[in-house]
Amino acid sequence: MPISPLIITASSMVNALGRGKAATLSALKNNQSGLRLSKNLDFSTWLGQVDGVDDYPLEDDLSIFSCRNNQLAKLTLDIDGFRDAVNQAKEKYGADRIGVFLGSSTSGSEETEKAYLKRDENGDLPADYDFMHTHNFTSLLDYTQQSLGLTGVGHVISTACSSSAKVFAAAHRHIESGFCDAAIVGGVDTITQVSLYGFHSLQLTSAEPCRPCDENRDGISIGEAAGFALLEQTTSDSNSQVVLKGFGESSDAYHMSSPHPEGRGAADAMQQALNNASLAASDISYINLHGTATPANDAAEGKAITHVFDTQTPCSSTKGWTGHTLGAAGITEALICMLILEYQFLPANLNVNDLDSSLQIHVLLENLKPKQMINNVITNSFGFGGSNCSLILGLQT
Amino acid sequence: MSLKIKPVYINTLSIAAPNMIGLEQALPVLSGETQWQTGEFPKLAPQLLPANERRRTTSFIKLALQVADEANLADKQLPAVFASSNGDFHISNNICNTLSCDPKYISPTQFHNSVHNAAAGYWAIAAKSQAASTSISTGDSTFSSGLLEAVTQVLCQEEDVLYVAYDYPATAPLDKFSDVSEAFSTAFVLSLSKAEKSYGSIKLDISHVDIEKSRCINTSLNSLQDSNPIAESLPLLEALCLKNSTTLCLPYLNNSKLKVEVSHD
Repeated sequence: MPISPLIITASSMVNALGRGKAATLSALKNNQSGLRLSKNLDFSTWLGQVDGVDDYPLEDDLSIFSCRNNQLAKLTLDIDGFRDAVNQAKEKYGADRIGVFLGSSTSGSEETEKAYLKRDENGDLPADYDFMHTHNFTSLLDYTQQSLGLTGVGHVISTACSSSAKVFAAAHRHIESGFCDAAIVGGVDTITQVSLYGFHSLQLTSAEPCRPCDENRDGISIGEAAGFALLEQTTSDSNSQVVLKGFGESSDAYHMSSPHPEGRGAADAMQQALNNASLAASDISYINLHGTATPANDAAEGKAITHVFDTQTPCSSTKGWTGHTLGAAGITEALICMLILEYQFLPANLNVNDLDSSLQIHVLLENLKPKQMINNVITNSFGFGGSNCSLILGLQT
Repeated sequence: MSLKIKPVYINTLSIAAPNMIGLEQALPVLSGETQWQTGEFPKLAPQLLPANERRRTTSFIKLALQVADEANLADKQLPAVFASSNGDFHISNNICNTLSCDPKYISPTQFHNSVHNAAAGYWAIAAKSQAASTSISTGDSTFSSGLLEAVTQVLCQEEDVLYVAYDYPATAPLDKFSDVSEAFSTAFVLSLSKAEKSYGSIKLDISHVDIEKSRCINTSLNSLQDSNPIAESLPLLEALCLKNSTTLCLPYLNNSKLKVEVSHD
């Protein structure tokens, strides 16, 4: 069903490429990946870590929410002029009419990991451990709402690596139904031991920087990131050019941790997003791949794309730049797509030595200044449990 | 005109709680004929899961699939909203135990079961449903925010939606830090059209007035309502079963309330 577009009137992002949109843009343009070899694990892997999060405290009156995940949220709320934009939106709509929809795969569960290392002789957790204000998903929502002074509707979506793509769809529905007038969407995910050792046990982490779409790709590089975007139905600000045009959501109904080999659910999500945006496949100038660099993901996604798009549509995975930021991948890559539309450039898919010839897609191996205007792009996010989401962002017409 | 003023029908309904496994067993309590008493919660074996898949799942996942299966009467492949405040305490406990030992080896099954959308994933596989599903949490107000998400999907997408809400008690040492003491799950199929055996319709809104949350007429359910964030649904389940037309106030974010206008016309 066609949807009415929402304008992205403000946004902020932090990831391994740096703090703020300008840092991400500059790293992308200057070919500087954020991945570094991990020094503190008992297996070899490269990570996309954000520096300085542990030294970035929450507000005194919100310190009950202290954990690395919420500290990364605060770091990201504090940059790119995001708080000012939210304050203006509060004047315009009222604090109770702005929704907040956030994605995270692990929230502040790192606090539980740490508490288990400090159990006493009876096996009890330390008295200062606080499940509800850290580990529980609502911790991220409660912290963000209170930090921004918002009192409207919202929730946390946790569908593994599609979480912070699906928040755009939820925000759209809540606005469309009349439960809020504008919405903040976002995603925050910090690296946890569960993610590191979990993906490692599935043999899905690479010992090298991840190589999406390479013939010899052998797994992911885990990253951490946060991003927020303010979505409005109208704006008087002529600098806001990028809009959410469509979204598609589907399930694989195939396997808990492997994608459907033909990319059945993924193709369905992309097609729905096109229908939803009232666009044809030929209207899309660039595909931001989920592109995790596991053998199964990239093969399935490649097949899904050939079902929906012309095989000449330029594609790249940006996981070689930021790492796979899991529950924050959706918002991170949506905001990279926003930078692509605003600055009219296409980022390369890093670390390809031998392009996988079985992928019938046009993978960009170098940054590209396109000859024709990029008006619409699509970004894919797929997660465990077979949860798929595709978003279409475009310039206002 | 905003979509939220349209009634959304609750066409099927299911529940699982101590001494109320399935709507048939729950009806005497929800209609006020008998008192609710706590009891041991049985091991569930939702039949839609093949035996090999059932072995891989936890009590938490089975609690969701049991009511999803009972509510999905027409066996349709519907879009689905899954809501749980806490996720799977049992898996969190197992994994954190493993991570505090050497070597840190997490079993692949435990890892994929640890995602908040594990139940939704098993559901899609068992129901062969490629329709979208989402998995959400907002702590103590999780039942309300899941219901709101499901209603917005019905209103915007004009198709039936399956809503499944569930939370399961923690084991030691996490039990001291959680607010869940009884297992509880419930599921609805929500629709813009009224089925012949519909339980009634609802309209939702948010109230920022400081008012008390609604309680059941059958006061024996009060302790169950306070034992699990999803059991905040009990006043709604009771109104639907008693065919009471009323406006309920369920806990929502920041001490606000979700106003649920229940009608039976």
